[in-house]
Amino acid sequence: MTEILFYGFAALVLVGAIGMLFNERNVAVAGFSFVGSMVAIGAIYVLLDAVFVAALQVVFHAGALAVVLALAGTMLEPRRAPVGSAGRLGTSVMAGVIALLGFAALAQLLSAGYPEIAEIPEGFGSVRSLGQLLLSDSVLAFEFVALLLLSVSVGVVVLARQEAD
Amino acid sequence: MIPIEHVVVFAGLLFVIGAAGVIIRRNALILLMCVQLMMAASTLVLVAFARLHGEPHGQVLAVLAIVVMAAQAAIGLGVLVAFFRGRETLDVEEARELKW
Repeated sequence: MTEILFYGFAALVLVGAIGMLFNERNVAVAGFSFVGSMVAIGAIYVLLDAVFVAALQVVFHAGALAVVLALAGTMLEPRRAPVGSAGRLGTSVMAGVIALLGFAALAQLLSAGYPEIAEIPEGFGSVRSLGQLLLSDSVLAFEFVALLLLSVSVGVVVLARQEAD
Repeated sequence: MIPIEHVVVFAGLLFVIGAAGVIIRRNALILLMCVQLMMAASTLVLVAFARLHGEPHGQVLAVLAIVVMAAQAAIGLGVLVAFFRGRETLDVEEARELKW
């Protein structure tokens, strides 16, 4: 059952991602495809017993980012919508090389040997277990992220303010 | 249980789609979403391996990565607004001051 759900949600994610890539003319549609694929990724997190990460993913991507993208899409109405690919030969060659590398990496990943899937303890992925880890083992990273968020909030205000002249 | 190879391959596919979008698209908003897609793919791998080993540390890292994604989106949109204000377009090909 879990596997069938995984394949369903994975298909949903891929459809959303491709829908985002091929709706360049209409940024609103692209944004909603993106949000849909992000919500489906949240569902995959639930299937992988990461409930708190899933909640965070849905809250951040479906809530915050959707609103911001919708606002940006409507406010930044460009003179002419930039459509089509970048069109240079070099870019196409580079895209092809990267696609080939990607396929090689996928083949490598498929054939790599993985250990057995471990049994998980009670409360795996819960807020309690993650919170305890965040404030003990990973407290340094936690503090750095706090610092990052502070500098980002200052930086965005500086970037986006109107010039005062 | 989901075979972990399939999750990893799926995340790889997602990453490749995001990378392709960053390379071939010109709309700065789409570019931003493609970068988010790539980061989401890497976060998915973190969660998958946390499940494989039964260790919650990977999930902690995933939480931190999602917060960094939020920061990146905020800064990206700030840069976008500043870029748009100067030239009324979202075409990244127009940003050529640093090209040579």
